[in-house]
Amino acid sequence: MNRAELIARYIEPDPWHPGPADVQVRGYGVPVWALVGHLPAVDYNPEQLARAYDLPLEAVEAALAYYEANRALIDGRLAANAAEPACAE
Amino acid sequence: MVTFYLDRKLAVRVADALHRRGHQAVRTPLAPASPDYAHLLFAALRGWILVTHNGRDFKLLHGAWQTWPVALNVGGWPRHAGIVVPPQHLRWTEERTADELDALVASGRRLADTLYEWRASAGWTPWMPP
Repeated sequence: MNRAELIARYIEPDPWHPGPADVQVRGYGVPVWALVGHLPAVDYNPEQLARAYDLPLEAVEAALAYYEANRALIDGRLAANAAEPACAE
Repeated sequence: MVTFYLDRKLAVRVADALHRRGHQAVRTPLAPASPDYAHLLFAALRGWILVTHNGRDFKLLHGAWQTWPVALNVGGWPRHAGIVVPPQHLRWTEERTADELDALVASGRRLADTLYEWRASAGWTPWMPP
């Protein structure tokens, strides 16, 4: 399955938050931004990310493929949650 | 003992880490398509502390929860038990997230009707509507 097919299969709009920055994993309700935000905590390991969220690995790969194609949108959505600009602790 | 209610933005394994620290923790049983306001209502009616990474939208809900009953003079409006927004940009593992949630509860600070977010300089900080 290529990237476009993977995204089409697993990624869907959030009906409560329409727009490309708030898409989610189909059937699970986990936003792509939440997965991307957790990626550093699992050392950028997709398998660990899938286990952490109890998602199929293919769904995580779809979310990461979506992120690759929409990086600025997802980064902006993550920034909207933060109490302050991103910085090292 | 408190109960943490985790929405779908949190890693499932945060619940496991909280259990190991002696807390009750529930990953949402609501349907994946449930809106954020349903999560807040579900947690508030049970006295559970809602944990989410979705600071953007829960600040809005928290502000409405606080201001509408006062403005509309609605008596008996329930408190929510607290909303906590762990940061994602600081690379917290599930264990670190559980540690910091545990520390917040242990601190004895007021959680009811309060939204806490993390600031690098001050730790857990109550957020106030502007």
